[in-house]
Amino acid sequence: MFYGFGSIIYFAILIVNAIAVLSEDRFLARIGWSSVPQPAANAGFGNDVYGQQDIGVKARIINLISAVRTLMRIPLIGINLLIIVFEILRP
Amino acid sequence: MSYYPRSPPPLQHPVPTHPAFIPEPPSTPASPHGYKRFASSPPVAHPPQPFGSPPQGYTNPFQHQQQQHAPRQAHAGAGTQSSFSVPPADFSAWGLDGATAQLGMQLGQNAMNAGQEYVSKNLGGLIPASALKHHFNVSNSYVIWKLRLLVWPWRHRPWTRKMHRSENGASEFASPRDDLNSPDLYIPVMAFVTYILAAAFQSGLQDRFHPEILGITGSKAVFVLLMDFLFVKGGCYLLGVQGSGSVLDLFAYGGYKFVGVIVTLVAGLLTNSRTLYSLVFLYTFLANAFFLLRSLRSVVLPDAAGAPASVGTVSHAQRSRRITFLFLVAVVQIAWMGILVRV
Repeated sequence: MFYGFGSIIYFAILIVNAIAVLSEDRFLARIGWSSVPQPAANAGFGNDVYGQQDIGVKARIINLISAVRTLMRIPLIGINLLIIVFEILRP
Repeated sequence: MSYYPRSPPPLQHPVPTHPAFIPEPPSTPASPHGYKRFASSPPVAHPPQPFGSPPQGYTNPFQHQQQQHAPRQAHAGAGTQSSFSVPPADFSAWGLDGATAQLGMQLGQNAMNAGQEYVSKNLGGLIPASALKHHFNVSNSYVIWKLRLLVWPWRHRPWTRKMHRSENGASEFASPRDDLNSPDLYIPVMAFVTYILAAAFQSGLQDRFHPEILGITGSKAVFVLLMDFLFVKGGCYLLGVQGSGSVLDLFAYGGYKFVGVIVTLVAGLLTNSRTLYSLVFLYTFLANAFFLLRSLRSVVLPDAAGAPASVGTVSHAQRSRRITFLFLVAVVQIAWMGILVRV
């Protein structure tokens, strides 16, 4: 099934690629998953402890997707280049 | 045997009057001149083992062993201290005289020290050594009790970890030596290696062994561990669980499933019936799931009596969601164990 660490790394890179190519305004806004600005959403943003638990699962997922898109778009270009070169050079 | 009419003469043990002389072993091309003796015995040598020595009394072998033990320690701990008198290395067969040989040995010691410092400086921050040591601080009785707990967790009464050990003012969890409920890393590491060996053994018994099976099994086991850890950690993040256990703890909890997998593999090797095999598999899965449920309950649900100030109260919906998540974690173990059992 999994014949080595290479397949694990490819699996992870593909998943992160899939998250990174989601378009903000063409797709996520259409289905209502756009990253909401924080102070407007949670009016009762009191203590940080309560705030983290009041955010809810959906808001966290949206947060995670937007974080992956913001942070990983540029490193993913480099990683994908590396993998493409590696796949070309592999016999 | 003929019967002598007289009593036999009194037995006389041979008592040599001088210490036995052991000739020097011939110098092979690989070793320098002479066998490098690590004993501080005189050149007219007593043999290193005590059984060849004359029976002058039973204190002698112990003296030999004590004399030999100290220089051996000096050679073993050459990188750390050289307070014992190290006999000078005799490299004259290699064309070096005594001073150069000493210099070479000092250079080697310095290089080793520098290497250790480099490793500890650069990679010391990556692997928290103190946390690792805490997880490997186990005793024999802990291992036996923990294995028994993994196989029969139903009757165990208190599942909370003890927290008394307050060094440097901070209260930490008790080490596995004192607390049965504390997760360790010794059993998961041992079970991981044993699982790889058991999988190779079973594939060898079925005449389909090739050396890549070891690597494939290892990769598969690491993948399962990683997926389990990511699932628990991701679920804790999504549900907003505060301080959801350290990474090593979650890896330890994930590694306990290898024990059940090994038991299942052994049962599969011993019997040929499918029903017994699946019964053992189901039982170990249930035991592992129950164990994880009880152990992670104190991590996920803030119901424990410790530290009520840092953890806020959860609403009823949140609590039921967390309980569902715990149940899901326990149930998905059957998927992981199913992957692992397919050798």
